[in-house]
Amino acid sequence: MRKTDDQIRVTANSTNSQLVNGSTPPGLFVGRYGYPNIQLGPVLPPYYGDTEILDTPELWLGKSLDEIINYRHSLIHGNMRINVSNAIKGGRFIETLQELAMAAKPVDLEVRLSIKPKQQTSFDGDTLPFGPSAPLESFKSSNTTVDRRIEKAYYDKDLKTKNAIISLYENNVLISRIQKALSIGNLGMANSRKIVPTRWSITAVDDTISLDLIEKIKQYPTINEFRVYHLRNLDNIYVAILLPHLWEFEWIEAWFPKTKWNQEGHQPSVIGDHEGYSGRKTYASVGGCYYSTRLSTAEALNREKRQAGALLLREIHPGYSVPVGVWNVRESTREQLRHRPATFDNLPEALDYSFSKLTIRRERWISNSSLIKENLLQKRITDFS
Amino acid sequence: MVFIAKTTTPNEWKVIANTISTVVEEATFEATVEGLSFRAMDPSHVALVDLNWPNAAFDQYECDKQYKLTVRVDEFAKLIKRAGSKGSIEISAEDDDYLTLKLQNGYKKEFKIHLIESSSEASPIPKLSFNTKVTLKEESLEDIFNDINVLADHIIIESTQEGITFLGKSDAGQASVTLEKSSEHLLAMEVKENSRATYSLQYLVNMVKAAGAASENITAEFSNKMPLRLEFQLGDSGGRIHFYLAPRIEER
Repeated sequence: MRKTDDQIRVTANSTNSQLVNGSTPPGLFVGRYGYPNIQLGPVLPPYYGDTEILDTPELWLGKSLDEIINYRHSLIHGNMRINVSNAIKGGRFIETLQELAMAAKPVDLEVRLSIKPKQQTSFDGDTLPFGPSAPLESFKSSNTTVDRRIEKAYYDKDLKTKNAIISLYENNVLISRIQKALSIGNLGMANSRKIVPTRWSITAVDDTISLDLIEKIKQYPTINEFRVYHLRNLDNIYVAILLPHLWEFEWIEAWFPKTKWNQEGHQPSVIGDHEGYSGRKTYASVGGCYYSTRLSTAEALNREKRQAGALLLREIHPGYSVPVGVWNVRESTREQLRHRPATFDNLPEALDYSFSKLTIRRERWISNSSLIKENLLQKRITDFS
Repeated sequence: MVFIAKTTTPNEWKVIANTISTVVEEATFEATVEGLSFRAMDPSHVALVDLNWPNAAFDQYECDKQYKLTVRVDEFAKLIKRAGSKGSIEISAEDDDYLTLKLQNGYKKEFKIHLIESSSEASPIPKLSFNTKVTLKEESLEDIFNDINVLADHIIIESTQEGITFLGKSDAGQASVTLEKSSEHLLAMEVKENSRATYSLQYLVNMVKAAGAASENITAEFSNKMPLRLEFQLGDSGGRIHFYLAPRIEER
């Protein structure tokens, strides 16, 4: 039975069988609870067809929140508990998943669950929500067409994880595919391969690629003007300010009352993190979005072969009822930085324009931004020559 | 090409290597008949280091015309460290390709490092006139900066005819250090006009630690809301380092 894209809306709640037949996008999920003994397994909808979009966030720009949530809820997650070191030991279960993570297009699966799948509603905001899940008894896959680029990295057991990630990225493999390859232990030196929880692998990929890009952009001349980019997507407002200075980066997000991370509050909750030219040594407290937006920014500057300081702001309004992961934020900021910016001669003018696009008052942003404070308050030697 | 500069102790070079590494990754020295100099701003253009080391300060100094010698600071600093605590250092260049370091301390060591092409632009010295000038022992100033740094990231320096006060405040609390004009720690003081300005402590703490290591005293000069200049001596050699730091606008 083949289904068209429109029919993909069927939610998996209609599935009450222990046997699920369908095409995995390809997709898999690795949980983090109980580490190093974690739960993992494939995700698939209960039907065959071109299901790629269900687990490929790079294709979601322009889709509504309802559409995205429907994609996700149609995915059934079968899971098994296993130790992360099994990435090396192998076995049929892991090897089949490793092959799935190399697939160039959706793969037909037959999955046997030990009980009927149950809907889970906990979204952690970084990874993506799913439909129902259940312990996995066994699963079979049909022939897989592999992506040669990922396959090559898989067989290169002398290639360090970091270099494998960067090489795949430079060969235009989608971030979501690199992340899956890392997560299932397809990358890295033979004896260092490990299964990595999905949530950690997302940030590891964003961090690794962006650090590499940052080293490149530090060699480029700075932009010549102050730029402001602006985008609204899924009831989020994004503003990016690029400064004609050396590389530095700040990400600040403001969760409005009645959004996921501010259910009880009466005013927006503002959090952010900053790094200077020489980078950061600690994990950004704001979480995965910091690394995904740093990647968007470094990618845009590297494309232009320019250097800049960057301040990215995000307001999350109540229409964003279900957080759909750092993916959404990465793709939104990537899109934002492809737009034509408004340009200004100085920071105060760029800020005036930026704040006219946002709803939180100016003082609140400034008091939360070390980049703005530093650039408004710290004079330069060249101001006195 | 003739360039040879020799010192009997490694101390000056150690101070210079440490000082320069706080502002840049690549350093361009300018050698002339008169002596050796270096000038550069840090990447954010908040601080500027200006080194002047006249030919008379060296045990041997030969230079036939003007040369620019650019090295990677981390490499250069590592080699200077190989000199140990005593012994002479001779730095020379015969062509544009290599800088030669000869260290003599019981036995002779010779290193050659590649000179690299300079990518930095000229850093003009800011045009300043200073209304306050104070001289303190190196230890005193280092101590004061560290005191304020316990509670604050920025320091306010305030001068009047009566003396000089250092202040810091943050969410954690407030700190102040006052030196009255009569204080024995204030070796010299001249206040033409009361002055008050704020500076980043991170820069000051790092710079005093690096450049102050061979300087008995430090002279600090500044004016209201203007850059600060610290002067460090390079031992007894007659060389000196000027460190300029741009002010911050004081937060209310």
